[in-house]
Amino acid sequence: MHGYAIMNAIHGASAEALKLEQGSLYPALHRMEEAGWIEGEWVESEAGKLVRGYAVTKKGKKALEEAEDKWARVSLAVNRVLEGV
Amino acid sequence: MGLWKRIQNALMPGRLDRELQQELESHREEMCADGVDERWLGQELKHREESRDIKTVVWLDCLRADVVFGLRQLGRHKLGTATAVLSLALGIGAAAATLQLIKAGFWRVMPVEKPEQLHFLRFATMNIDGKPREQDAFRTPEVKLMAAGVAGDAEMAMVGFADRQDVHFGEASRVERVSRQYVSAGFFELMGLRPEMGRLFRKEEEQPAADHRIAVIRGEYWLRRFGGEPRVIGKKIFHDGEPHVVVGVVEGDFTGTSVGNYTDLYLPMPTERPKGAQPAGRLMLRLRDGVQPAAMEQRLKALFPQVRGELSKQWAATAPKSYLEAYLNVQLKMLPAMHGMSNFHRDYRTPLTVLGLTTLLLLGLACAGVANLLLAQSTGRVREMGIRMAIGAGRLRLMQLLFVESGLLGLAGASLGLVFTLWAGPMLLRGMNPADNPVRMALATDWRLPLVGWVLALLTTVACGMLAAWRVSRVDPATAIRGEVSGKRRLGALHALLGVQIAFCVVVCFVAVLMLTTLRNLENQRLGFAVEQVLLVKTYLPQGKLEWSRWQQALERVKAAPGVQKVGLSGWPLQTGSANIGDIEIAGRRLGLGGPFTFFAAPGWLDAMAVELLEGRDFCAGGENAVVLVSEQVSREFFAGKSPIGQTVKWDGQMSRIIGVVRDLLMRDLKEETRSILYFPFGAMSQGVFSIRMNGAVREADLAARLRGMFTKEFPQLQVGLIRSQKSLIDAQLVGDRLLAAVAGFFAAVALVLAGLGIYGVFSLVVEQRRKEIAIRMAVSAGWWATARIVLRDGLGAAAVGLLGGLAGVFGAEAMMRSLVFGIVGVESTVVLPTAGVVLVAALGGLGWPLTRALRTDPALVLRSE
Repeated sequence: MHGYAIMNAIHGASAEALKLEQGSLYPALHRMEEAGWIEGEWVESEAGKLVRGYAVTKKGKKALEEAEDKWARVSLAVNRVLEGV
Repeated sequence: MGLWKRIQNALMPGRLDRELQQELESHREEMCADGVDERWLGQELKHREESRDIKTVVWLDCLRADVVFGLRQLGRHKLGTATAVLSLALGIGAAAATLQLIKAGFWRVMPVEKPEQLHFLRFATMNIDGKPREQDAFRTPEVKLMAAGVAGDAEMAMVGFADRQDVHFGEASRVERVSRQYVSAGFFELMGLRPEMGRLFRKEEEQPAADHRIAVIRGEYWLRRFGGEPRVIGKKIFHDGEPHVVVGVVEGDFTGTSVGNYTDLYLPMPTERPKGAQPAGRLMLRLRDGVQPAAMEQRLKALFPQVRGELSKQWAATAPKSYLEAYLNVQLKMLPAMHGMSNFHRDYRTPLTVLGLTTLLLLGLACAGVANLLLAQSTGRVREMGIRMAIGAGRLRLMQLLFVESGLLGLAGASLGLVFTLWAGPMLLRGMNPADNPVRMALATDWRLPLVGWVLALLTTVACGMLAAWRVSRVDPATAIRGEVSGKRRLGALHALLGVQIAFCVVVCFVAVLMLTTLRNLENQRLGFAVEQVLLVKTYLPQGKLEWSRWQQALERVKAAPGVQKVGLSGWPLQTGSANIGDIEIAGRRLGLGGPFTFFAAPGWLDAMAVELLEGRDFCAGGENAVVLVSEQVSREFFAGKSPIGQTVKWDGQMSRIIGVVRDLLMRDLKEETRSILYFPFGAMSQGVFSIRMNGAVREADLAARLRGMFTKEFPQLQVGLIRSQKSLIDAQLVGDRLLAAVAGFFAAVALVLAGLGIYGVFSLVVEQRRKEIAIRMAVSAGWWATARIVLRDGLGAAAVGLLGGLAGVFGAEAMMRSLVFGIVGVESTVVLPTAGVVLVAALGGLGWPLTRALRTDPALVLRSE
């Protein structure tokens, strides 16, 4: 999936709640690429244009799982605190 | 992404930049296609730079950018860059080449077994002028007794003096010149040398009865001359007309014990000769394990006078007192021989030290020049730096930028300097001796030496860069952009550097003026005899003497040869560096050391050599005895300037009547003072030198070949030795002075250019910075002189400070070079004034352009632009 498509996916999945400055996606993508979580490759888009597509690596999946776990724990903790208030 | 990839991106960022650009570009296109507002993309440059930082090694990327910018900046100031790089290259190259030469000449350890155990002996005595001198020639009987005295603790061997000799391999017409050295038969064993082929001399061959007609050749000569042919063993090499059988080849790395010379041919030194003077040579000794050098030196110091006392018993009663005193009063010292032993150390110590120090001065001058240029450039770039700071560049970032620029300059200069070293080392070596007797040394490519220069240059440039950077880091962007940086205060360092540069330049120029004046004095030296078109043919008998009548016949035959105008015959040539004295009694005074020189000349020699006869007559053509010619100095020294004709001279007990007075001439060398000379008639002699005045049409080599053939055919008992021109003997003496004068002259020219450029750089800046002041002065009708004074006062002030500083160095340089100069007494005005003159001319030359610019300032234009 290439940058623009990723941005649209985030946009759609968050029901337009997360509306980011689109250019800031790229430093984030490149940082993840640098960490080995994703792999970038120049591919042809559906529109026939050359774009850089990214795919999650095994290391990335693992990191995602860890991040999800962490997020779950943090959000659970936050929810509990809020419920208790 | 791996580190390697990031390094690659930092060094070659083109592809990365394109990809980042393309990725954002395609994003923008899709946004536009979907009708999304482009502004949602955000700050594109910021995002791209952020990504870039992730994908590269940031500091390396900055460094690369600085290098690229630095190169561009250096390219913009082509003249300054070229000057800096060339002067650094020259400074480093010259210093490294001189150090290379000093290392090869003074520090190279001979490739022999345990070289630290090797020593040689030298003693202080009197020379023939009656002045103290050091000598290292020992006679075989002395060595024999001394070796017996220290037997068990040290071994001794004799090493003759290396000499260029003509030899051939059976065909007398195909002579070749080799470096020949006599060594005692135990020499190779003492040195621990092995044969590459065949065998070396054996210790038992030292016996007087042994067959000494054998030879050993050097490995490199064997390869060069015989192409490594194994059949060289057993070949006969003809030396002094005698065949010597080659018995072996000595290993290739060993070039001989004489520094500056490679010995091609070794011959065994006979332990004693039946008649005449015994063989002489240097004394090499190897201490046994455990023997302390200091203790051995003490033993030898006591032993040597005893040995000489023993040997002098036979002749002590009849010798002049000064002879005997000089013979017995000797101070021995023992010196390490691991670096070899020869006159090279004595002859070249001072010239090479002067050369070394001059090159270091030049390097200092180059460094000061580069420092000046960098400082001047950085001062000129204050406004640029202000702008950079205003748009966010940190002070550290600016400092790095200037560091990189100066480092690049140092790197380029040092690299070019290495190339210069490779060229200059062998070139200096070639210039040290005449072509037919080259100095040969192993100039090892030791990278430590150029590395020292390289590091020095880099340190200088970086230090200058640091100074410039520090100054830049203190810039206040607001004032810098307005161009309101006080010039005067900031130019203090530049003026100081300029003073140092001029002082260095003065010393380098002074050295050059001294050397050039010395060379001119030597070249204009009145010799008192003909030099041009004179060919000298040395002939000798290996044993015995030749009757005068046969010499006379030979003279006639030489005279008849085509191309010969006049011919004379003498005992030895003039201007070879040596002279003879004898037991002389003249005007009631018995003289030994310091007495008149003696010389043998056949009738007609005066005419052939164009020596002017002032009074009386030449020897009779038929030959005569008991007569003598004297030089005019003899009249002054012994007869109070009156005519000595008819007076007598006693030589070795034989009386001779003075029949003529001839003009003074320089017998020994160009630098000698006028000495009294006694010319005795050439009689039955074992050697004679034909002095031939050639007519212009004949070529020296043709005549030499013709005469060699004639002697071989008609006078077979006479061996023909070296054939040289009289001019070559003079040139051989001048070669060192010419080299020093040429090198010093070249260095001085470079120093003047550097000083001129330094002044130009600084004062261009002064004019640039003070142009508003100049414009105002001109606007209020100040005359051209008031404007010129702004530049001239500071410029000439700096030059004067430099000149004064340099003059202090001049006295030091003069004291060090005293033994090298000729015809100059102390720091004379004749050398100081030209030095100051040329430096002032260079200073004014450097000031010229800035001054012209100042005078051409258009006040209206400048003030309007401000």
